[in-house]
Amino acid sequence: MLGLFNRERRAYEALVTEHLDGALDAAGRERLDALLTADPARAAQVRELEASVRLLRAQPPARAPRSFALRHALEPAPVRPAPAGGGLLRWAQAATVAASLALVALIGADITGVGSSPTVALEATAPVSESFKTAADAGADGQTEMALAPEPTPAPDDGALGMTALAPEAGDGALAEDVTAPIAEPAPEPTGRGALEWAQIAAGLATALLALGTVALTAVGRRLR
Amino acid sequence: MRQAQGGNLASFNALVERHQDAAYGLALRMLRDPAAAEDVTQEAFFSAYRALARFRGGSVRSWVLTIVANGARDALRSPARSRTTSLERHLEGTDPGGTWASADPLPERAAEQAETARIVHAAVARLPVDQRLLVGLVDLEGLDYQEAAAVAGVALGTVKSRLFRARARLRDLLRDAPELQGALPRPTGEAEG
Repeated sequence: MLGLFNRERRAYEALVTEHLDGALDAAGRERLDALLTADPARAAQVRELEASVRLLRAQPPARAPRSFALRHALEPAPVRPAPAGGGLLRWAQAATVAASLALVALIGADITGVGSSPTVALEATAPVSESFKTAADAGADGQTEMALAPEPTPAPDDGALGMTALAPEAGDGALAEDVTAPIAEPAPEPTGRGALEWAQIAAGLATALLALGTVALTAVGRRLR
Repeated sequence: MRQAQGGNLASFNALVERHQDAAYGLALRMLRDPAAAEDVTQEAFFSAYRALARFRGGSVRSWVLTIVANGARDALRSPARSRTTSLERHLEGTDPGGTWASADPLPERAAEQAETARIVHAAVARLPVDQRLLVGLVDLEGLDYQEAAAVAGVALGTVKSRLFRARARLRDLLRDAPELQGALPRPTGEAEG
């Protein structure tokens, strides 16, 4: 309701304005005439507006108090001197970019596995049968029996649980232990943060601090300018 | 303009002479301070000279007035601008050269016209800055809506509604001036838009 009223009011204002500037087209003229015929108070106000605009336009134009002509050709716009701390700001910006790139590289290395320990990776991912073969080649007494043992059933998971399926049913505990000992040992869990992780944290902190420093230096530079 | 763009200072100064009254008038209406208006006008012509290569055609007057309007807006925002409005004082007799001096050769009529001009411009000076900018551009400088919209940096519809409000306010201010009794028709009722 209010929107409709506002639209109507704006349309009326536009009509009157165009009328005062002689920019009203035939359709607009017809609409305004209809409105003013129906509302004599509005018609009177439009007459007052016409008179004030006439009075305003009758005034002599402003006159410049002096000539603003240029006495001589100007040089191109002067280059502003670098604000104090500009060199430091450039260094901070460069260092921020370098730290960000280092962080990205470290995260990338983490994701792709580049740089992580190959031994750990092998132990963690080697199939059970491969590990079993390695153990059998070690020359233990039970290796013949082991070779006669049925083909190992694929274990659902790597590690010690899978090895119970490979142990001989005869219940030779010593043999089972000998064979499974190196395999059953789970891949070493990282007990703390690795070097890569520490490097990531350091690069992240450096990036954040340098970015803050750059913002602060920029703000100081702007204030000094 | 082409010669000025080619670095011809005399051609550029011819443009300055042609547009400096409108430029100064606009700055004065916006700033209401003759000294500040002079500064802004001079600075606008410096800027225009330096920006000649960037002029891509169209109305030179609109281009110059846009630079002036931007400069005046900056001056209005500047914290260094702490001088009080002095246009009223400027209009009340310290302007013998006449910013709006009448060209009428008869001294009595010239004095009467100068008095009317003083009242009208004082009324314009009491409008909000966005309204006095548009009244100045359209009613005093004769720009069309498109040009005024470009200089003021607003939409066409905004130009019309601001103009309507500015003129309505101006009508009220002029109606209240005792010196202008008879110049405006008497109000017959109050039923605004």
